[in-house]
Amino acid sequence: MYLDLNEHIVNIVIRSLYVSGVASLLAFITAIVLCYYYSGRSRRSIDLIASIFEALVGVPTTIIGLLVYYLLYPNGPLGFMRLLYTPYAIIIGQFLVALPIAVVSLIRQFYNVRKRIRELILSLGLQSSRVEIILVLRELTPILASTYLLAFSRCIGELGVAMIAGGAIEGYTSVLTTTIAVQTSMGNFEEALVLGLVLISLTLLTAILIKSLSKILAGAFHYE
Amino acid sequence: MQSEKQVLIFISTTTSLYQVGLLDDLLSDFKNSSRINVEFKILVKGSGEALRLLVDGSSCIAFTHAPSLEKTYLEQGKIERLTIFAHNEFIIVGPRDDPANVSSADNAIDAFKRIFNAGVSGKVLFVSRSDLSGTHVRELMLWSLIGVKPHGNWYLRTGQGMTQTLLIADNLNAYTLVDEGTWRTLREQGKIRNLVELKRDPRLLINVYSVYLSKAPNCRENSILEVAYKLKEYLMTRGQELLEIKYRDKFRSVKDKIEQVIEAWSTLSNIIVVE
Repeated sequence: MYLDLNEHIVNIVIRSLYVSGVASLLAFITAIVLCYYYSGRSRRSIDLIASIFEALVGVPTTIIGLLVYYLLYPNGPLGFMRLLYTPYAIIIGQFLVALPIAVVSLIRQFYNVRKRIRELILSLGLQSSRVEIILVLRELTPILASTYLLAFSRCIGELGVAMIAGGAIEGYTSVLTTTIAVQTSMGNFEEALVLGLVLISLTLLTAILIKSLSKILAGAFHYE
Repeated sequence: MQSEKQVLIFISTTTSLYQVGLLDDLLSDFKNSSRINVEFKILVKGSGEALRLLVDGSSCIAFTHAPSLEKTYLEQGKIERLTIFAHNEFIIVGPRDDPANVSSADNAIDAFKRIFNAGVSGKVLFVSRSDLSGTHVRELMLWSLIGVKPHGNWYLRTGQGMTQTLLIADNLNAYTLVDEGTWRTLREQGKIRNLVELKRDPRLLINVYSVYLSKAPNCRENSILEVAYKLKEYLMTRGQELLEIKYRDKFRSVKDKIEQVIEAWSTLSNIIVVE
């Protein structure tokens, strides 16, 4: 099918995958570190942290886009870095979009699993925090996979940050969602529809890929 | 070959110039003919936002068509004009059967009066950009010249670009104000089914496109200034030819009549818009 876009669709897809992939990966790793760090605390503090991040999940992506814009515009606090309207601005914003949802999805699981593992380690008389980390991560593999998936889909599907902080510059910061918005506003509904289908297929494909990967990983861990 | 460092310049532009394809053509022709190693990043916004980005230094060059806004920033010393480079007209378009009888109006003010009266009595709809774009600012100017503030069920605000707004108006069989370039492009693409051109007014509805340079510190680097002044020179020479050849029916060049266009610009910029 011929698409009347100024930029090749493959470039837009690659850029979307790169930007959202990096942003969600950073958010994912940060969430793991945060959750592991806090999982040793009491039940009450876990509940408190969880509810703070649950509230943050609801912050609209446009507001996050606006925040990133404010931080990065030339007279803003971080204006000297000259990151506004670059792919890095989108990565920063999408990182903020994905972090709360990743934390929410992990924190209680981390707490429960770590408690169980600690009892196990104590009962076996082991005294190694490295063993503890490995065991916790092993137990959590399926949840880690679905958490990354959540973070990634939220990043690749969001519009507010990419539009406001990225600026939807053709060939530089335009991603799938912004191209859909721009094409629609130019009256090119057919192009927008095709891009929409591409976006949905990408999300589904990633889901299948990560799910199967997590199955393989989980299988590799259970080697008895 | 020289290995000059590539200059990167952010340009903010009004939607109409971009959506019609003129800006891309001009900039790539400029790059090819001047052989300057420059990369333009284009931010497509309404004139209001395009100028705001320019003032902040988020973009260093802006293509706009909102004289009264431009004048405000010029007077504040935040931007400088490179040149006025093209003009065309805004057109009042509306349903074929023209229930407000706009086609027999004396001028744009009379036409807007008729739309207002028919709108208030529930006979017609008007679709407004409402995004502080050049087109929207002109619409506001006309309302304030009549001394009315349109609101109510008949006055629809889209907050979107010209193409989208025109398509909405076409779907609703409503009146709207549109720039000639967008109107003709969409007509040629066969996307307009219901609306027809109803009223022109060369005096009040002349649409002047200018290029501005930011005075923000990050835009005053020599490399950027050099490109900006070369671009100005290009727009007034080769760019004018490109306009006349490829976009003759959508934009008119300012060659040989720059004084009249500047005159029209200052008349327009002096009409105070009450919002």
